[in-house]
Amino acid sequence: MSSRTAAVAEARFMTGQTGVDGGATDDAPDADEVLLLKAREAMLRGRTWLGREALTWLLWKSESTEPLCSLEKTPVRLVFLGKLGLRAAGGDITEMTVKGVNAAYSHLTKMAIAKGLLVHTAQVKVEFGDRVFECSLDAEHFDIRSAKLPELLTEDEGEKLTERLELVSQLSACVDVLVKTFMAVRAGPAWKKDVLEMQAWAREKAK
Amino acid sequence: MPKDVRRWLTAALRTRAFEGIDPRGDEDSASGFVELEDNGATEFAPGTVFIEGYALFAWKVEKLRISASELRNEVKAWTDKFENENSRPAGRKEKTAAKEAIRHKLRSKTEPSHKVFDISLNLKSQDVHIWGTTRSVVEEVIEAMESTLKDRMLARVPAAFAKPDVVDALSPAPELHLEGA
Repeated sequence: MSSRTAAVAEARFMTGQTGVDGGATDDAPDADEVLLLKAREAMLRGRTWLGREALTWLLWKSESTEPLCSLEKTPVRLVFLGKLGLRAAGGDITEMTVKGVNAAYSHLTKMAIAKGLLVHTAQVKVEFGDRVFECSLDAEHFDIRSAKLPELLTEDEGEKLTERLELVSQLSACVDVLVKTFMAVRAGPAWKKDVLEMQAWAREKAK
Repeated sequence: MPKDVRRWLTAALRTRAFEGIDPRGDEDSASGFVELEDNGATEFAPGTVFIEGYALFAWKVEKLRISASELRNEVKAWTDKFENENSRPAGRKEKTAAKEAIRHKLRSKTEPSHKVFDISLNLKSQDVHIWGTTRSVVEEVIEAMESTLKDRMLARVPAAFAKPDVVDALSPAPELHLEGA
């Protein structure tokens, strides 16, 4: 069984769609119920909720424009770019996309976060020292997509491949250290304080 | 990773090397590892795989799709011919057998399509990058790599950055996952 299939099966069990024998527990639910079940399943699948919390926390932290962490003693900064996908597991709105110059830090986005929609997909700019990368991230797999790398320094054709690989490894390491920084907070006593501050941040600007 | 990475990795890649679809068989798809520079090659000589701290190879997916309209037209031509020759319409069993024979004939004529996804393994950090956007292919590559390398691959999701017992103790923060919108 692939890891995704296993995660889907687990999420279906967690949301009460299947029983311990793997069989369906109920007769066909109505369309609204299906939508909410799907939204809940998507949140639980492979601990996507943790990824959403990570991206939302990073959005909140990144607004200050200060470095969020460092890698090899070099500061790592993060900026959320023009397009953001938000999702929730319940309520009237389970999915929302905002797009615009400063959409990620807009009042509307914060209002949505205050109402329970968390960041699920994001286009981000990662600044590692003087190197600038861009990529898309998603809360479920944290795959690096549509990556834009800094301009290559080498002019030697043979070395271009290895330089590109080094840059991808660097971007990957930056994303890892950002997530690691979040997890250190998430699993520690500072999380409760951060949640309160994050809520205040979202509500204050949403007024 | 073992000390002799070169031997370990190339041997593993060869065990799951790409083998194309057998035109006389029943399988409609095939996949496996190929060399990065030449996606028709599966020798995996160290000189073609290892480049300055990286192992570079690829995953090839081959698919054979018979055109539905072509199959329908051929079956239609066969049933018309059958009716003319036998002065009766073809029975269900005869039609099924003919359809299967036509499918086999078309299959041997059809050229399979293929896609290649690059894979890089950083030998120092042991990070694997799969250069593809199709989730199902990424899952397929992960499964193939885990079974051939006999090693577990960890997705770099947030849960991978804390101890399993710590992650198991976490649950969605109720203050954030509201249902009020």
